[in-house]
Amino acid sequence: MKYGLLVLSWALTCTMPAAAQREADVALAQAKDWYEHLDVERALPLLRDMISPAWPYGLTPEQRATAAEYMGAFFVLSDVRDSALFYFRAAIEAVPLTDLDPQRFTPAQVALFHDARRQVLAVAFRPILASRIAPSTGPASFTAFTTHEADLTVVLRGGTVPRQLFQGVSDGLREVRWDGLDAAGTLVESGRYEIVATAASRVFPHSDSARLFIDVRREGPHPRDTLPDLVQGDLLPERYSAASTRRDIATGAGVAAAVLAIAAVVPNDGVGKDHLAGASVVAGTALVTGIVAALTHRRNAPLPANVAVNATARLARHAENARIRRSNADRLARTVLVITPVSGWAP
Amino acid sequence: MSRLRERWLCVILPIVPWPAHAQAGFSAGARAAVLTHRLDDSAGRSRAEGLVSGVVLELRLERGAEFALTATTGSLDGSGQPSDDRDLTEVSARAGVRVASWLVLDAGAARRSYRTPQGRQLWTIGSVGAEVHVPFVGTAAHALLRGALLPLVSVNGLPRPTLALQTAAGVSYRFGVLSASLRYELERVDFPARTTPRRLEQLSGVAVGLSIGLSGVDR
Repeated sequence: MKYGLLVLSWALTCTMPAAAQREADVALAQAKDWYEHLDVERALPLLRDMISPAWPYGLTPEQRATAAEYMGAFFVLSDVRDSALFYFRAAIEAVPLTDLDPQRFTPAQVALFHDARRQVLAVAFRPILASRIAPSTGPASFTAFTTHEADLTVVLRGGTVPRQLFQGVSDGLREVRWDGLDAAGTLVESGRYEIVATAASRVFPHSDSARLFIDVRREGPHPRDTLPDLVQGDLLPERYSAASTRRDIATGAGVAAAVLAIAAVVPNDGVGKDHLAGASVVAGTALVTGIVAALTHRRNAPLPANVAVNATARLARHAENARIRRSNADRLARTVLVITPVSGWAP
Repeated sequence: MSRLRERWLCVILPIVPWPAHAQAGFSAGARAAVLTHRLDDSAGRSRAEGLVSGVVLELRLERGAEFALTATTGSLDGSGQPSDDRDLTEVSARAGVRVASWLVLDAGAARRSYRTPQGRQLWTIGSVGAEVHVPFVGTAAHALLRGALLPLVSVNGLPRPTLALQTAAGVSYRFGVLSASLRYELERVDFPARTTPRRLEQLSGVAVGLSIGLSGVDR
């Protein structure tokens, strides 16, 4: 019983928004019908109820915008301009992309709606559909919208550095293209990205912003990382130093010690220790090599042989990275970005 | 021993190690070593010493891979005991990869023959090891250290050894396309006392190598 009630309440919770939307749709259809028949006495109270906070069923932004549009249209017909502007602005604020259909509304209503747009700054993105783009097939396209002339900036966020996709004056619809690259000029990685449009009105001091979230998935071969630059540990010293003198002596002594240790420690006692004559010759040679190498040092004197070896190593690394970059360019040309909107629409 | 001189061809493990600054390419060289073979078995201790020599072919790729083929042969004199005389012949191959400018990891296989008045003994050896090259600053010399385990040692008539390893240390020099090396090497193999009495073998000595780069570019 207890679980039955829980299931019932859960089902009601899930179905309530849909039912409320249907109620609002029915009421809105009724109001439109009354509007078509110029039945102001019945339509106006219904629309006012729908917009008021007391409306029990809730409204989607689109339903609220439609209700406000018809309210404004009624007031235009009644020649109450200020109220008409008020509701038209409410409609635009609810859904910036809303517009009056010239086939259904009078030129006066459409003109006043356009006036209302100049009094409200709102920016929005048109809903987008899933798309696939590739460097070889062309960029993705997004449409931003401002209600009137404004300074518009569109930025892609999600990478390490935001990339500006558009900056300039815009009025109405503005197509913004994106080639799939980030601020560094490389194809973006798979992940969630945010496109932010910010508008500053050129009519009055007001600004607005809108966001569009997209998921990007890369399809195709992954690029290879380039090799890091050669650092000190990878290269030979290019000048003598006091440390190199000590190092050479230590290296020679180390080899000498290793040779003697091999001869003295590694053999099995059963076969008898190796006589150390041969080992001593090698150990002495290693020690002398270290001492001679150290004695030939002049501090800070260049080491031409090492400089040449390092230069060759750097050139080889440079050539290898160039080869990797060429390979990556080829891989990039075969990579496709699959773009899907996160919520299907953007405010 | 004369037979050994006729069978001069063999290949052995790292004889002339590549210094870190060596050329990528192909090289050929020669090796000579004064080796001492020591043996302790049921017959007591024995010792044989002599000179072995051979050739070395090496190939280095620019991406760090290295391959070596070595062939050596020689006679070890039993110092007055003819029964201790033995002829040594060895053929080996090694493949390595340079994982750092100073470190090479390698694996190899060798086939060795000891011919004595009593008969012929064949060894099959598999090795895994590492070789360190440390340059002397500003000179064309390098210090060398090598250690290898011999996980596979198969000798006819003998059980698997309980311990088998190779070690070496020395220096190498480079003069243009020529490379030379001097190193002390020691191989120790301990066979257990099971069906046969305990048997301990050791091969050690001083090896000199000389090689010439036949093709390739400076790394």
